[in-house]
Amino acid sequence: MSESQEWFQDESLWELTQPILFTPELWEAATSNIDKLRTLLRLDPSTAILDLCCGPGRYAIPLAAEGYRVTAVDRTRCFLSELRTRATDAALDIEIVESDMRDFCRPCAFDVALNMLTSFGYFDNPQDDIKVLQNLFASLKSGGRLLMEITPREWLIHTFQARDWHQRDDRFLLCDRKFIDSFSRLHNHWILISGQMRREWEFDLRLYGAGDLCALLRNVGFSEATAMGNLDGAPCDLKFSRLYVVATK
Amino acid sequence: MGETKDWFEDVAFWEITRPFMFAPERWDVAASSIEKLRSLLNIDPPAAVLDLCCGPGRFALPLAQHGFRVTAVDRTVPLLDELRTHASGASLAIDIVQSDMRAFCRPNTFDAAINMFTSFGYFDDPDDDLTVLRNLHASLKPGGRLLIDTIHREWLLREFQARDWMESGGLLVLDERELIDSFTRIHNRWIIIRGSERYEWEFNLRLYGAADLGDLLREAGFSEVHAFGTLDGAPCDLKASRLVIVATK
Repeated sequence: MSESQEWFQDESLWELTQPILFTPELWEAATSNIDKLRTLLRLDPSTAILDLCCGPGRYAIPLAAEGYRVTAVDRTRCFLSELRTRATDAALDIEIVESDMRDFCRPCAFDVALNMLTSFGYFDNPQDDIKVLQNLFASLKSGGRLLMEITPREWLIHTFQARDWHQRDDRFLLCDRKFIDSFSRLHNHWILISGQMRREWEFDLRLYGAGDLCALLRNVGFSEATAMGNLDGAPCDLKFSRLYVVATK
Repeated sequence: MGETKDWFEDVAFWEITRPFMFAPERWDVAASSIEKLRSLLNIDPPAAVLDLCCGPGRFALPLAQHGFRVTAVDRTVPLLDELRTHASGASLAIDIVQSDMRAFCRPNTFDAAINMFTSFGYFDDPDDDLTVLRNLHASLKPGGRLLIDTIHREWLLREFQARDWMESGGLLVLDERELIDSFTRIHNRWIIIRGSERYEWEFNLRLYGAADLGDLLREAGFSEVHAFGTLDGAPCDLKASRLVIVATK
């Protein structure tokens, strides 16, 4: 980890954009995906699940409500406090851990691990991404399954739009993007407008396609890695704005 | 004309969007286009030129400076006021007329006519567009040429983006678009953010490609219809965001 603050360590980014990023529809989509996860990841009542970069608990909450043992890890405090409130309100027993994904490792503890909603590729040093995958591999039991969900580089290149915007009530998020480092990373410029307030952030995400993410997973030790365009197992193609990869330890 | 107010009759729309709609760069582009217009329209000073939907005079002013006798027509009073101020400041004699483009007609008067910057396709009733072309045809002298510069439908379909935004002239302009009526029209929603102020307008534009606008021009009596992608005479292909169409009476 570098000495200076990294972009995702700025809590205000997540606090101020959360109402726009985590829409009610996004929460509902996660809840309605639980059955698909059950099939895809062969969940059974005893399954211990790690949700790495859990955010406010879109998956952790409904998984716990279904009776799974969930450990929810994130480094962003405002997300964890929302998750804690939701878990308490619903009387759900979720283990909540504040940790950077480069640090969290609990050897052979989990049957299943999740890393959802493009919570990968945040670091300037690509070795940090590998470290995260090594941690995930180590934290799974033998035969354990990892599910990752990212924005695929191929779709971004195919349908690239430099700008778009999102609105929720009187809050606007304006996004501007460009490819950098020979299309290996995406530079993002976000402007948040709410009332008189205007805040701006710039940050880079490392981009992965189906082929290179699967190869990276095999490199850290996973025996199988399968890429899909949706949770129903559709093959990847340029229509899918999401990339799901399931890998087995 | 409908009983209810059409979107373009809302003077506030033009006043508030003025700083980005007619940003300094756009004046520069217009001023440097005069030679190109001369060539496409085959005119020399002191030819009589009609600028229909002249706005604040981006083209009318430099045309007058080049020695053309310019009649500038628009229905929006504050834009004409601005043109009048510029014209007197530069001691230019421009005939400034406030009129709806469906109503303005001055038979056999002009050597050339221009209709720039997507000032066409504003009306719910497609016959109104034909009326405008008939007025233009009547107002030209025999052999006179008309040039229309408008958004190119085929490019829009190819490059379609539902949302975009720009920051210009102290305003944030958020644009949301939807293709309606079997792709014949575009529905636009504009949100303007100026400090803590918010403005919102919705409006529809009829879309044209080279073939159908050509047909409409011929129906109005024009012949020798030529379509280009720029004022330089580039082809009207899928790279062309503009449809520049030239027709002769």
